Amino acid sequence: MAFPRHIDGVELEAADEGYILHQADLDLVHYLNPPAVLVWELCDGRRSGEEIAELVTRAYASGAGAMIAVPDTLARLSEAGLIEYLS
Amino acid sequence: MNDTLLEQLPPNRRDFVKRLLAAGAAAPVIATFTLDALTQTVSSSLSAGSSYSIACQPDLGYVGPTRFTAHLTLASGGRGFGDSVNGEVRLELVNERDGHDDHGKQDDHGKHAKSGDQASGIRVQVKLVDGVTFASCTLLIQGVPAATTNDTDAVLAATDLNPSFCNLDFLLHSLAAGSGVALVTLNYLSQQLVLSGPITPSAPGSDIRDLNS
Repeated sequence: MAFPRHIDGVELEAADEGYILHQADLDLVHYLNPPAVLVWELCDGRRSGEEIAELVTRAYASGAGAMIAVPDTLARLSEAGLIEYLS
Repeated sequence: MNDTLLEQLPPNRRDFVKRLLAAGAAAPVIATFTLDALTQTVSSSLSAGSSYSIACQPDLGYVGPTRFTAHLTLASGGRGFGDSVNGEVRLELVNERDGHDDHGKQDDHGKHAKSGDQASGIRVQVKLVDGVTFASCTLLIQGVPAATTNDTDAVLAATDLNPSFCNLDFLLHSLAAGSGVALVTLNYLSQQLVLSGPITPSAPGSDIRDLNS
């Protein structure tokens, strides 16, 4: 089982209707909306993707969390270089 | 809100996560840019298989404000600069006939397009404080890049838009709905910085302010 965690050296700043994640060493800027930041925030290297998905789904009232596709979001965070996987 | 989630978090992260949850559930948006040109490079929410998409409506023209402003503040990098680095982006509808600002189709206040107007361009003007070097300006709609310019005074045509944004009228409707954010990259004291600000309809009679005063 793989456990996603944040990449080191990412600076998080609040922006309008979302957040800016700045990777100064790579000269990259990422814009994430709050649900994407929530998924990123839960990537601490101790939870699996499945556990994160369950937490996110249950975190919102009335089942609204189901609209957050956590596996897809984790894949895109990984593509963007914002998380890495520990095995 | 589910307390199980908060209980699993370090105490110093709980308030932050509460704010994230308070923003409500939505399809996640992730857009990545290089600082050099703020070119969308990786993992756009517009990529294939994304859970996020923009539904284009038939282009029936645009009715609404024709001028918009974004007051820019430091969003990333440059800790310690405080409010000394800031700026403003002004957007203005350009009409179909002569490529000039849309004075001919505005209402009595000169700030609203009337029924059936179709934009041929949107003029983008970027004003920054003295001493900084402008790099790029990107307009985001719901966090998704709609268009980028590397000029401080440019006219965006429909062909300049990210293809997913349908047409200029769609972009204008999104701006009028308060869904737009301006993201500007610049260089200051050998650092690359990012400024951002929400795009809102301009107040009547407003002009670009003196940013250095």
